[in-house]
Formats: sequence, structure tokens, C-alpha cells
Amino acid sequence: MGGSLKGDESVLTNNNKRIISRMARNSLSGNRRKNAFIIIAVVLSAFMVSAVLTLGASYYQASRVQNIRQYGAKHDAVVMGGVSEKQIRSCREDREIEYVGLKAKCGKVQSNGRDDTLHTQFIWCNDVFWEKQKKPALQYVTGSYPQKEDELMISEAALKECGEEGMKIGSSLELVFEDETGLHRNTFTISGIFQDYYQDKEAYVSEAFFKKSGSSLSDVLSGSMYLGFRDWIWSEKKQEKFEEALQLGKQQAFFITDGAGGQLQVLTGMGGIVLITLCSAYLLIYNILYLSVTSHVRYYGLLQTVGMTERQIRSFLFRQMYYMGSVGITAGLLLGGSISMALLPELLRGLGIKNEGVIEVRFRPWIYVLAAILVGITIYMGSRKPAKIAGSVSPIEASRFAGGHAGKKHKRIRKGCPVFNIACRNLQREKKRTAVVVLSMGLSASLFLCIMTLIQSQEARTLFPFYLDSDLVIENDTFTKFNRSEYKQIFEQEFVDRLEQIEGVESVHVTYAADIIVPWKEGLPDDWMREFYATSMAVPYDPEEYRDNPEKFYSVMAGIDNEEFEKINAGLENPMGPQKFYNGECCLIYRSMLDLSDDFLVGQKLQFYPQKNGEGFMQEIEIAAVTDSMDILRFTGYGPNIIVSSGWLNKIMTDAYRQRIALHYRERYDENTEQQIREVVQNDSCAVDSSIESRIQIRENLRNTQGNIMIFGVGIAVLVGFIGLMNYINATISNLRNRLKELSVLESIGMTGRQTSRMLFCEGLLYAGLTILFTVSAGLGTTYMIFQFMNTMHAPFTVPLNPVIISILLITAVCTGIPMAAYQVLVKKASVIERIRDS
Amino acid sequence: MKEIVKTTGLKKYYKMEKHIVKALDGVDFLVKEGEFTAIIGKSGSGKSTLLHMLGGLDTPTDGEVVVDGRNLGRMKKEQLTIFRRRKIGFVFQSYNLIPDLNVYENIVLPIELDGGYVDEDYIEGLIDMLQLSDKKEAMPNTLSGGQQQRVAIARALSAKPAIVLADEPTGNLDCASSHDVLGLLISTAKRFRQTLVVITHDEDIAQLSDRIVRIEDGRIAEGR
Repeated sequence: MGGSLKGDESVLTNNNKRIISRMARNSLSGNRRKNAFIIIAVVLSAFMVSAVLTLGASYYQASRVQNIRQYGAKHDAVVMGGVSEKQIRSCREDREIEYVGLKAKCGKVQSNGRDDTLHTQFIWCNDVFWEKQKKPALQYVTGSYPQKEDELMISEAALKECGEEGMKIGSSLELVFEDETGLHRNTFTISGIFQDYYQDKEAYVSEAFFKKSGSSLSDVLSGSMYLGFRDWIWSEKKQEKFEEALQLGKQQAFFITDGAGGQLQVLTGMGGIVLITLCSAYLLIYNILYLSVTSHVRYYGLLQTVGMTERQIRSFLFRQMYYMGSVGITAGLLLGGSISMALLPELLRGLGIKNEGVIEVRFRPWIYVLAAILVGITIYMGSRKPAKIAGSVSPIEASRFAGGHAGKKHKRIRKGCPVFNIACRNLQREKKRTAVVVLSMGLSASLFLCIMTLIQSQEARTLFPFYLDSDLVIENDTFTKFNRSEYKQIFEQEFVDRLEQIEGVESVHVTYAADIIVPWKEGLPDDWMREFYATSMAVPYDPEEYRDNPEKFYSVMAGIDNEEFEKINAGLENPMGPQKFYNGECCLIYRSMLDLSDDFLVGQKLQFYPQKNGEGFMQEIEIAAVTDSMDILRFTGYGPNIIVSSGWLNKIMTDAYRQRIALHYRERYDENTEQQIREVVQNDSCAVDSSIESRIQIRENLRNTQGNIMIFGVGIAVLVGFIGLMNYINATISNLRNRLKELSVLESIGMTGRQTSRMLFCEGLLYAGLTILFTVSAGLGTTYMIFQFMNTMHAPFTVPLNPVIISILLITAVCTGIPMAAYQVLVKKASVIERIRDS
Repeated sequence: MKEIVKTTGLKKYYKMEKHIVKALDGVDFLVKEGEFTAIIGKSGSGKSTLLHMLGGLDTPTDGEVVVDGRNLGRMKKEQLTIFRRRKIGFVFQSYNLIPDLNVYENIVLPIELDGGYVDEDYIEGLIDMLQLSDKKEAMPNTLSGGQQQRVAIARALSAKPAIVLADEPTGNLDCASSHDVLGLLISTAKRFRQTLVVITHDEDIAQLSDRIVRIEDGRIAEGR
């Protein structure tokens, strides 16, 4: 009866606890090599889990910081294009909203007496925005927010542009600026200085200044509202509902940041990575224990023979695991902690990762508690089955156990290479063990692939779109002037020629720009202007004023060369006929974010007068295609803005402005060429009124913000690789140790050392093949799903080819190299018969 | 008759902590072609060590082993293994079959390792003779001890070696199986004109041999 058996066992229990503990302790000191392996596995698992959690948490933190830095403010949503009192009130009353930050542009700096094409923007913001939303996005801030009308909180970048880097709090700065009330000259006192991560040229002003500037929060081009949500996860449905409740006007836009929308995805993806890591650790522990138990079946049988019950054997094994687990977990957590806190960033720097961001690996106690619990559970789960096997072995079975025998089924006789056949059979011998090893390595490889894919998608963002794939762009900044009469021809042909002569420059493309006047007419001009006013203007549209004073409703015409046209045309859904474009028979129109369809615009004939010396000659051109890209036309007018052939443009007006010069280098990211270009610009009269934007510069900015993500991602990937490797090494050594006699027998009947090596190589190759197969099927599929789930930045999915090739080669090298090396170590110099006898 | 195995001053010493154990201590031994030699002796006398030396499975501390005119001590490891699979067949006490291969595959393994052509008629004859025809596709762990030892004998004979060395081939078998197996080993060796060297404890089996060699304390006490 079960009751009586339990009774018997309970009688034994009292006396046995001591002996079991002693046996477990003795077993620890008696089987040092095996136990060391288990402890290493536990150490590695605890290390892995704590390191992954630490790095994961830091990665999450870094992502958040990066988002804040990129957006220039900590917020979850933003309303742009002006914001009404009603909307502000409704958000403030909304319990779901924690912060309502308000910001308004209220002026633009024109000059400081030396440079009259300054870009600094005057901004007012409320306390909430400054304290809760802006400050977290700043590198540093000193001083206080302006309280008086003539005080400024100015960015380092703005001071640098003014050539006043040395200014301190309390310094005076004289500026000419323009606001809604006109042009002013004022001497400001600097109340604070800040620096953000994107070198924005901004100066924050007091409420008193804002009130006098004539701007208001409801202005389309001025006001915006930054919202911080109370809950960190907002479902899409909730977002839509909120947007609906805001009752946005046609001119307003509502954006949810990637942070608010993507938190759930990012965390789920990260949870997936931790889960795979734990699964991998489970497989490693299970495999080590399983192999240990199966190779000691005779020992457990012997214990049963001398009277140990099944429960006692299980308890004996669990106690062993308790001792080893305690040691392993403690050491692993210490290792994980120290590596994450200190060594890993150094190691990664040593591997060539340029850490230009701030590495923030903080000590988080909860991670170590969680890691200890998780690894403890994993050890228990991993020990259960082997303990059950150890306990259920009958003494007779144990005495006959030879480990890893093939099944009782008759097998068909195989033809072919016996060495390969034996290798195949060896893998099939213990299918479960093979599956566990392949699964473990496959999981590690898949996780590596997944992380590398995610990292590459981050890196892909450094392959940012830059003006028509060029390397550097020089802009004519006089086009930023409010007063169009201040536009200047700053780039002379001679300057362009000098740029062309620089050795590293492959081509130079000039974009010409000129104002045009589209006279009022029913149809396109009138419909366009009506839509433009409805969308972008605070005042109503007056058709009569347009008819009477069309020059006030100017448009812009840009001229591009044939090469740039080809690039743009190739990207159009319905490309234009090149010849017609070159001849000036058709043009491309910029939609200006208006609600006008392609069907409405394409095919229309646009009549216009070129200004300046082209005045008086009306031109007519057919609209052949529509673009929504602002690449070419960075500055637009009220009316239809068009892009034409520069050849034709220069025919109809001889002195159009050179608005932009785009340069392509012979070698991308050629810093030397860029330096030479900058020197040419610096030594030219255009230096003051021009600005340079380059691919190299943007890449540097992106690298600054993405440094952390790269470090943590690579860190996790490298650490995870160890799990699979450990599992394979352990399985290989156990397997070879169990098969040492068999391999020696094979040698005794004539298998040469070369044939043995070939067999082990084949086995390794089969392991590698299965692992790669698992990785490219299940691993890649899962990676795609995780990628899409975490892809809040809508980066394109691309398989990281180099890491994949490297990992395939590495898997193959490891899988084939380790068995051969382990065999040599195990065999040492013992003779065949010694090995047969000793195994 | 031609001398097929010859040892001269063969020594094998093992270092056991501070002592030196002399497993073989200057053995001069000779076997002629086609002869059936039985080596007898007490446990630990050195008979297995001698057999292993003859088969090139162990290296001597001193002395020479010449098999079919080749000095085993002068061969490289790779050459020795190839020589062994072509010239010597081994039968172990504990069968040592490859668990992943079925009976037929175990039998032809030495031939396949040599990349040679499997003489199906010869192998079938061998299988028939060893009464394994109905077990060709069986896995080793489904066979009885006697059946496994017969497979081991077939494997030892499959490559048509010049010499068959058997280390207590019936040591793990019951009496009836012992006589069956040994009878088959002797008759097949005779049929294929192979030299047979068998280690045994069994005086009755030894009496079947052409010559009996007794080993005591690492030296040949009787019968050279």
C-alpha cells in the first residue's frame, strides 16, 4: 500500500537526511571535474541572466534617453500648427495626461552686427515644458529660465553661431531680431546657457517678451503643445480616441512619439530575448545534468542496490544541485554585476566600438533578486527530469547500462562511406540530446541573429536619406530672410568651379531658385490658394487681393540639372518624359502638404511670370508629376511651387539665384575632401551667408545618440553566444568521454586517426548544419516577427549579411573543431588498449 | 612453416606509484603460419598484455614484435592501424561491437574502413558459418552474449586477416555457448587458413590447440 511505503520512507528519512547531505557533499568533492562543469554552467546562466537583464534594462533606458534626445523633449505626443485655449484646457483636465507643456516660436534672430544670416529661433515655453520636458533632453543647463523681457536662456550652438562661445551668465548680447511686430534691435542679458544633443540654435525668452512679440499659442506657425501621458502604454485605439477628442483643425497636426506607441513592443521584444536566454540556460543545465546522470547510471543503480530509495536519490541529486546552485548563482551574479557594471563597456571599446554616448549601467538590486529566482527555477526545472531518471533506474538495468545504445529496432543496411554513416548514427543515437544541443546552439545563434538584425536596423538609421544621395550641401542662407528683397546671389560661378576642382569631388550640382508670380485665375491658382489659406494661414483667403496684387502671392521655381532630375524622376510613381522636362515643356509640382490630389494637379497648365529680369514674359508649363518631398524646395511661396530643368530656367531668366550646391564625393565619408570643401567655403565671401550640412556631420550626431544602443546590443549578443558554446562543449566532451571506448575499439579494428578525425568532423558538420538550419528557418522567422514587433522606427528588415556569414563560419568552425580538439585531449598519449581498458 | 609472429626480448613495465610492475619481462615468442596457439596463465600473468603487443594495440617498453615480416615498433601510428586492419583480426572478451551499427555493418566495418570491396560471397559464407544469417539486420543490443561474440568473430575474420588474436573470447559466455563459439572460431580459422592465437583459462579449450604457451609473471614458463 502506498501509505505503508510512505511510512517506511518516513522512518528512513530522519536518519537519511544526514547521510544524504554527507554523500552530496562528498560527491561534490569526489567528482570535481563534473561538478565544476555544472557550477560553471550555473555561474554562466546566472551571469547571463543578470547581465542580460542589466544590459536589457540599460538598453531600455538608453532607448528612452535616445528618443528624448532625438525629439528634443520628453513627451509622448505633440500637437503642432497652433493650439487653442480649449484644447489646452481639455488636456489639463484629462486625467490620462500628466504633463501639458506649451511652446511657441516668437521671433527669429537676424543679425548680431557681424553675421546677418543667423538661424537662432526665439522660443517661449511654460514651466512644465522647461522643467519636465526640455531639461531631460539637454546635455547640460546652467542658470535659470528668463523672467525679464530682456533675458535669454540660450543654446551653446546659438552662441557659437554668433561667435560668442565665451559668453557667460550675466553677459550682454546685442541682437537684431524679427517678430510679428517687426524688426527690433535689443541687448539681452544671458540668464542661462544650455546644450542639447542636436546643436539646435535656440534662445528661450520670458513670458513678458512672448506677450509683446505678437505671437500666440494659437498661431499656425508658432504654437505647439507637448503632452506627457500618465500611463506609459497607450494602445492605438486609445490614441485615436484621444486625437478625435482634441477636435484638431485643418492646420493642426497630432503626433504620437515612438516612445509612447512603441513601449509595449520594445518591452515585449526584450522579454522575448530574456525568455530565449533563460530557455537556453535551461537547456544547458538540463543537458549537463542529463548527461551527468546518464553517464552515472551505474552509480545510481549501485545506490539503489545498497538500499537508497527513489526519493532519496532524487533528494540526493537535488541537494547536490542546491549546493552547486548556491555557489554558482552567487558567483554568477557577482560576475554578471561586475561585467555589466564595469568590464563589458571596456571590452566592447576594445572590440572597436566607439562609445561616444554615455554608458549608463546602473546597479539595480531587483535585477539580481529576479535573476537568482529565475536561475533557481531553471536549475530546479532542469534537474527534475534527470533526477527522475536517476531515481527510476533499476539496479539490474543500471548494471547493464552502457550509455547511448541504439534502439532495438532493426536498421536497414546502409551503403556508402562508413565514417559518415557512423557519424550520422552517432547523432541519431540519442536524438533527444542531439535535439537539446542543436536547440541550445540554435537558440543562441538565433538570438545573436535577432540582436544583430535589431542593431543593424539601428545602424541603418545612420544610412539616413541625405539630399539626393549627395555628401555635402551648401545652402544660400539669404533665402531664410523674411524680406525677399534681401535675397543675395552669394555663390558665384567661380566659386562653383573651385569646388569642382577639388580632387575628391566627383560632381557638383547647383539648384537654382527664383520667385515666380502665378496670376489669379479660376481653376488651379484659385483652388490652390484657397486650400493653402485653409491649411496654413491664420487669416482668411481674399481672392480679390490675389487678383489685384498677385506679386504678394508669389511662388517659387527651382531649377535642377539633368542628373538630379534623373534621380528624382526614378523615384516618381509616374515618371516624366525627360526630354519634355529638359525642354521646359513640363515640370514637377510640390504639393506643399495641401489636400490636392495627383489627379487634380497632373495635366494642368500653369501660367506664370518669372520675376527679376524675366518679368513680362508669361510662361506656360504643364504639370507632369507631383512630389511631397521638400528635398529640392526648402523654401516655398504661397502659390504653386514648381521644379523645372535648370537649363531651361537659365534660358528664361539669366540671373536666377544659386540656392544650393550639392556635392558628391568620389569616396563616401571622405573627411579629407570635406575639409578641403570647408576651407574653400571659409575663404570665400559666401562663408557668412551660407551654411553647410554634410553626411559626415549627421552621421556623427546620430552616432552620439546611438552609441549606447550599439554597446548594449553587441554586449547581449556576445554573451548569449557563450551559452550555446558551453552547451556544445559540454555535450561534446560528455559524448566523447562516453564513446571513448567505442572509438578505441574502432581504432583497434582498423579505423585510422585520420578516419576518426574525419568522423568527428562529419559529426560536427552535421551539428553545424542542423544548427544553421534551425537558425535560418525558425530563428530567422522569429527574428522577423520580433523585428516587426519592435520596429517602432519603421526601419526596413534586412538580414545582417556579414554577422550571418561570420556566425555560420563560427558555428561550423566551433562544431567541427571542438570534437577533434576534445578527442585529442581525452586520448592523450594512451595506447588503444589502455583506452579500451580505462573507459 | 613460415614464422608469422615473432617477439624478441619483449618487455612491458608499468609505473605504479613508487613500484614498477613488470607485465612482460623479456618474452621471446614465435608463432608459425596457420598454427593455433593457446596462451594460458593465471590472472595478471601478462598473457593479455602479450596479445595486445602482438596486435599492436599497446607499445612495448623494450623489445621487438615482428608480424608477417614487419617490425611493429618501427611503424607510425597510422601505418600500424592500417596494417592491423589488413593483417590482424581481434576478438575481445567483451565483444566490443559498435552499438550504432547492425550485425552486417559491424562485420564489414574493417573492410569498409579500408575502402575495399566487400566480397559478398565470403561474408555470406562467414555469416552462414557463424549462424548469423537471420540476424544480419539486428542491432547488437538485441543479441545474446554468444551471438554478439559470433558477430565479433565474423568481424575479426571479415578482412581475411593473416592472424586472429582472441583474448578470452568465451570469458563472458556460458559453457554451452563457449564451446559453440570456440568451435566456430577454430573451424573458420582453419577453413580460411588463418593463424589463431587464443588466450584462455580453460584447459579443455587449450587442449584443442596445436601448441600451448604458459605465461607466469611476465615470462614464458612453458612452450615458447
